[in-house]
Amino acid sequence: MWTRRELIAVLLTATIIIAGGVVIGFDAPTADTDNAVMASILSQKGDDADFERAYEPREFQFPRDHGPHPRFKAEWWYMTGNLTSPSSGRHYGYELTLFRFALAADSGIRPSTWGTSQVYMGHFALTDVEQKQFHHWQRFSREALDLAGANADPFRVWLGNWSMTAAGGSPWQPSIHLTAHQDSFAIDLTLVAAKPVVLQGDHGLSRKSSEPGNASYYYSLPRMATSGWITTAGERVGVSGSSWFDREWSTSSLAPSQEGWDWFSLQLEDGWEMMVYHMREKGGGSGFNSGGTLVSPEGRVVTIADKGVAVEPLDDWVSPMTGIRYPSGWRLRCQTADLDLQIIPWLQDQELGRTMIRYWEGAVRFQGMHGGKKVWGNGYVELAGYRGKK
Amino acid sequence: MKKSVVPLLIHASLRYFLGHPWMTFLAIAGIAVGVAVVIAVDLANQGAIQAMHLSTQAISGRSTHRLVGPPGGMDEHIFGQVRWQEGVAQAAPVVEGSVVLVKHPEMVLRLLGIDVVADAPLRPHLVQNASGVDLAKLVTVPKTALMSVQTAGKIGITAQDTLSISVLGKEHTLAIIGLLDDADPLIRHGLTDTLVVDVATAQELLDFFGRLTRIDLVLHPGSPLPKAPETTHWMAMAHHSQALEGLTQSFRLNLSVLSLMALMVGMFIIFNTITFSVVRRRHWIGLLRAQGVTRGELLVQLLVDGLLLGMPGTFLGLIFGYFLGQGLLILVVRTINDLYFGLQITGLPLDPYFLAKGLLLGLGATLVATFPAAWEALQPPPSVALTRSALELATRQGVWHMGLWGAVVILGGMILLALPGNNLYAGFISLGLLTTGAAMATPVLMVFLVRSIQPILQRVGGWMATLALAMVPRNLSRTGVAVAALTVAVANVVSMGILVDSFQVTVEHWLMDTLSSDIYLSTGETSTGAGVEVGILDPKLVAAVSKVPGVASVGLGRRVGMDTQEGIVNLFVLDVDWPRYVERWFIAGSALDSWPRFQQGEAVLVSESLAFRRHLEVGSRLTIPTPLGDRDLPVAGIYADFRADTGSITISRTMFVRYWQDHAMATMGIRVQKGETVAAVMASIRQATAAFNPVEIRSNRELREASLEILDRTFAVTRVLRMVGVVAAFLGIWTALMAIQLERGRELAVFRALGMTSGDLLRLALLETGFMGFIAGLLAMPLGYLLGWILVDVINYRSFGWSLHRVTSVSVLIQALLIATPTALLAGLFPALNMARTSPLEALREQQ
Repeated sequence: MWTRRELIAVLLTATIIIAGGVVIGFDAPTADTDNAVMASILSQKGDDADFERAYEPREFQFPRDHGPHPRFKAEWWYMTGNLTSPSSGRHYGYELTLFRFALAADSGIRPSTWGTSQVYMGHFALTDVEQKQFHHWQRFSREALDLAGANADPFRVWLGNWSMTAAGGSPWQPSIHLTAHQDSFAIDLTLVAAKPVVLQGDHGLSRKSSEPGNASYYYSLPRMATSGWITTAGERVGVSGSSWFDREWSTSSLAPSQEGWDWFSLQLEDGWEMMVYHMREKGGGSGFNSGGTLVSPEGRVVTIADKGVAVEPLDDWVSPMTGIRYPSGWRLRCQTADLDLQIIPWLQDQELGRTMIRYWEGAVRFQGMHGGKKVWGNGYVELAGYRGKK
Repeated sequence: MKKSVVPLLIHASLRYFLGHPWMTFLAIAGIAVGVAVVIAVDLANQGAIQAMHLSTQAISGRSTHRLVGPPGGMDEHIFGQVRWQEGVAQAAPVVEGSVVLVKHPEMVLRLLGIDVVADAPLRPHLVQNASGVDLAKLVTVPKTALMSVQTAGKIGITAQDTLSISVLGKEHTLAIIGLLDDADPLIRHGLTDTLVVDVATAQELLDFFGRLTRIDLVLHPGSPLPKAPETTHWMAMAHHSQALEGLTQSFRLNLSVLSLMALMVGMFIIFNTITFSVVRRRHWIGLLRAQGVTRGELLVQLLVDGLLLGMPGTFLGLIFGYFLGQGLLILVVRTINDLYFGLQITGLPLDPYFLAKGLLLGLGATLVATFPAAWEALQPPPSVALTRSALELATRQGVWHMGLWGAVVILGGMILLALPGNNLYAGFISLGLLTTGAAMATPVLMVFLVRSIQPILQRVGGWMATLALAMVPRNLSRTGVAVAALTVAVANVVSMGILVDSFQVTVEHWLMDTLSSDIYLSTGETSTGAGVEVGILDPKLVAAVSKVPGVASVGLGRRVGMDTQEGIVNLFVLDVDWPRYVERWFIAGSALDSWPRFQQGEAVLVSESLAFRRHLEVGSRLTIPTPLGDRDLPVAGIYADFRADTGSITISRTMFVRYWQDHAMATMGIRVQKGETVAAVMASIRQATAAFNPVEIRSNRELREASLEILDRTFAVTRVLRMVGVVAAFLGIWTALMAIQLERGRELAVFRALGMTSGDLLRLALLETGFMGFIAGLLAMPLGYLLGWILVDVINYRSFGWSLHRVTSVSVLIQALLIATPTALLAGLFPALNMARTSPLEALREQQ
């Protein structure tokens, strides 16, 4: 079973290898070149044997596992959320993701403080629905001095002035303070987990194939009550809403058999949450791996089996920046859960087109029927692996 | 009545145009060429600017600033403070030093410690050239390094070999994990004798823990300079060649001047075309007027006619210009590619601005040109208008008026030039006024020239030459405007030549004179040692180098970036025993006279552009911020400096010590004794300095050659674009002269009937156009010289505050004749051949 995060790793590797080839030869120095150069740095063909792998379910311990796992090759802290200004009713979406990549398994202690094998990448995106604006930024840094890094206790992950910091709560149900500042845009949010940690897959082991070790550790905090401040183009607005936190680490190097995936995180107004992924086969075949989880208002986790959910695109949108055609709007049906939803993006253009990996990650809203009752809510959708017209 | 007449007249016009297809074609072609020239040059310029931009970036990397620490390096935590600060787009830490090769003790390599993760956006070429190299290994494995292919070849090692080095008396073995190469000689030069390592490796090898040599940054354009953390200061990025920034700007100026010239030439071509098309229909206009068509109706009609020609002409011009522009672009890009590297600029989109400019020019110039011609044609009573002789008589009388008005316009341009103040636009306007005035005066000058040549020609040239020459002023209504247009076009080409030559020759000489030492030695921002002061030269090392056999003299220098409201101004500190600036690079004051006061720290020298911007003269006082507070200091001299146009200030070390209380010097210029080779002395210096902290030793020749190479490349592109101007002038004139000759079928038939052979006619026609071209060439020489003078001394000076030595080579002037005469001859060839083939009877019968 593949999860979207594992596929990010696969796609990253693929992007990196392709981009590494592109790097040779002169190109105008653009954001693309930067990305290609970064990709070539991260594309070491080192032996993965030295890294730890996810073979079997582990005993999750918190706060330990909120922190980094440097013996695994890649890891991420993924925060997305929908926010509203109570005074004006304006709707916002945000994404703050910090990735950790290990360039080598063994980071022996070196006399220089700059010596490290860990590199951090950050993505920060803001969706301003009223202004029809989507902004996104990317940054990199090595883990050295205090430029970037992660701590388990007290929990903190940071890349310059982009950070996630413990703000109370319990180890299984923490509160987190988020800050990110870039140009005249910023977020300053406090997140309080409304439900405890949800272990995805088999008790947190998310297998991607039958081969042992080709798996990741994956948990989520599917609903975090969020309040604080958002600044867009210098304008600071008080906001509140709800966020979704995903955590994953793995050492995976499988060649992709799929071209990409669609991922949905939905927070229903009736207190349920749903995570759905849908893999797309190369050549347009239907996804073999799809599934997800449902979380009840009490925190009970229901696993959705493969093919237990049907997602049908309703419309599409072509990015003016990259020329990539993305689906835009879906009908999602799940018989197990007696669920039928119509999902539409808050804004069509929520593409991260200037980042090392190009993908669409955007705030969505939905309405439909759940258990025979009307339901609505907000969520985030990720569309990865779509390609531009050649 | 009017409502019914105008469509009828348009119908008549169309009949006329269709009945004279050659004339109509040439008129449309004339307009098309005028528009096309402007569009094509703009497109080619756009491409060239893009290309230039790219190449500049490739050479200098993208850093705009450096944050430099005190001697001994800065605290490495400062990097974290500035990295995410507002206004900082990118930042990369650098630890730099020098190492000695164990097996080649005479070789000192520069150790460049970078963070590839932070450096990727700053120096893409460095990382990109490491193709096939596992860059992650550079970060994670201690003592790994990259080195240039050239250096590796020199010491006979290959990738994956190890290299023993000695740093601070300790030996280390480095693993060379990859080789760097670059097609660009400047980047290659920058990589020579350099070991690229990770910043951690550099700290470990150099025992430089906790410190950085400097931080390279890209600051957001327009945002204020962030406050430098304690103990550090900002420096504008030093390029391989500091002349580069200024050169890029001058290159742009050349291009915009060229675009303006193309606009003028285009306008004159259209003006000539329209004037001709109206003038040659005087007979027809006379007929219509005799039939009762009013002047107003005819004026409307002639304007409509102008549009009938102007619209297809403009349209064709836009298309033709687009394709011509693409072709030129290929030429420009190929020129750049031959010199720089593979650029990919093809199929530039047509900027709507250029489109609008082309439309406005094509239709606007057509209408503007129609007015005076139509007005003139409508003035005489119909009976007079019908006769050609009346027209020529009137034209010849009008020529003097026109010449007078031309003189007035020229005078106006001169007065505008002489006005105090340094307004650039006033400079451009007077350039336009002088060109227009000269064009207006061209017919009368032509008459004057013909009269002067005639007696000589009568004696030596034979009857046919005399006849051909006499015919030029006889057909003044046609030839006057054509020769004026030709003169303007050729003069523009000449003036551009003067500007380009002056730029190149001046900067070349300046570079030769200012880079006067034979060997340069520095630690400065580019070298780091441990334990001692960094960025400055050890006085013991200076003493040791001075004693090296073969060293004639040494001079010391240091460059400090001073943050001012106009940007960073370089403060040069000099400790030399000979005046660095030779007399001829002094714009004001004298190098020798000001030297004693300068040396004693009583006065400063400033660059010309600084003087220009701040209105300084010799004797004025300049306030300089020093650590002891602001100091008001007299200016003893003004020197030429073609680096950044923000300018520079030069002070003596005595003054630096007095106000900055800093004895440190960062660079050393060494002159080699006569009879010694630079290479030998360099090797001795390397040995003499091996015991000290590592220093960087560079031969001046390489540096100078690299700078001159940039200069040559820059102007190679300008030359290509200037040739575009020549081609455009050629095309425009060709259509104009061909139209004139085609119209003269009847006249030539008379000669034929009088007994001239077709060979005679051919010779006559060629002689005539040849004379026109020759006259235009003669007139273009002084005009071109004048325009060149304005470009160099006014436009350039007002743009940058740089005085150039105006270079007017005879060849540039001779070019005027070489362009004008053959162009005119070629233009005469086709109609003359055509005429020679037609039977005289038929030609005589043909209606005018």
